[in-house]
Amino acid sequence: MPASTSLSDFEQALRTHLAAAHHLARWLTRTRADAEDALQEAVLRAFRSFDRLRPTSPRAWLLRIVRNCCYDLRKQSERAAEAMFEEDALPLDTASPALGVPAENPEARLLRMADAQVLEGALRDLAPEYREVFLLREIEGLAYKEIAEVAGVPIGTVMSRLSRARAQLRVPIVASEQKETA
Amino acid sequence: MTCAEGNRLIGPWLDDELDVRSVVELEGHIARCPTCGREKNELLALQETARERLPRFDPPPGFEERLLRAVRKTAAPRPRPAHRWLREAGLMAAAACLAVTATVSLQRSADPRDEIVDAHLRSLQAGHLTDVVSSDQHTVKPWFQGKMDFGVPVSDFAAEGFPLVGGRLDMVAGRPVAALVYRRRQHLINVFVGPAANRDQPLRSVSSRGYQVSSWAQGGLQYRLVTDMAAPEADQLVALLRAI
Repeated sequence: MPASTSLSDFEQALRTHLAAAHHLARWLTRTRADAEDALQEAVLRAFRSFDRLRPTSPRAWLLRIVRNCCYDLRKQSERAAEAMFEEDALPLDTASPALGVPAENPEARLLRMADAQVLEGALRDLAPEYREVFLLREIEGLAYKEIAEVAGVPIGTVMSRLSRARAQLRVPIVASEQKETA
Repeated sequence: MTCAEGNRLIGPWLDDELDVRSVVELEGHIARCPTCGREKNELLALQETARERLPRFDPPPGFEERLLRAVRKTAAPRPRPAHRWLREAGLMAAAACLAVTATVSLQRSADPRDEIVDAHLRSLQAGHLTDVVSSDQHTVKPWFQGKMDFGVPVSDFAAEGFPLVGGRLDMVAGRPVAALVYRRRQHLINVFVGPAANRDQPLRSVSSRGYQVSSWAQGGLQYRLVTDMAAPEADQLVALLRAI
């Protein structure tokens, strides 16, 4: 019976990638408790298929299960609360400014001083599918190919989501800087 | 390069996902175009802010151990109740109990036939069919030396219509085995070879989930062949292997 072998392999993979998994779960759920619930469910789900699949990239594979569990949990809690508004259905296609249009007069050095809180708030306001690609890229340092694997979308979609996420995130930061310097 | 083209490439450039030629073109354009230069600076600043300033949420102390305890509990083997099917049917209807699903899947994978079919499917899905690609048995055979604690008999049967594709290391029933891959037209055949419990064992062929699994032991080695080919053709390869 491979239970002990696979268990120790699995434990090793989990220990290696738990910090990234936890970080992602915190960003994709509303509360700390939700993140921990989603993560526990994800880890059990992951363990059940680990032996069968023996993933070639355990990180991308685990993060994919984590994000799926986070979305499942969100759906459940939204249904339970009989959501009055669809927070995550932000129509980014219309809201996002065209990427080619430069902002009025922002200076790069001002942006560098941007308050992390402004960015954090803007990131929380993004629709989750945009938030996740941005986080996987900038915080976890995943390549486009791995992000595509985690999010279950083609690489082209990863690129367009990332580009939209950046365009969206840039706006409030630039605005906040302009306010401060005004 | 137009500004629109340049703009599209700035993100991939930041992410180190551009090919060298595009990098040169983009950097040339940025040097000449202040608008795109500003765009680049802003996106770079956003990237730096995100990387340096966004909070990191580390797992609370003890969380890792708590998760691992939950996993170990799931993995622990449990005694079989007398009316297992009855109990499983009831619990599976409830469909919420993680532990039971895990027990079921562990029991399933304990069936050697399923394990072999799983190993076959895994090799096809994961893009990891071969570690050593060669139709030459004199390349494949030495490749296994030092990786396995037994000699792996490797033969090419191209003349008989089963060319050798290559070999890889795999796991079946928790033990490392040599996997030899053969091809017959568009069909792939995995032959798993590992040490046998008994020196010889007669041939047994069964069908599982649409795959034929043939197993036998000879010369102290356990052979397990799995393929989606029709039985008569699979049997030809079995006969060739048994005649080595």
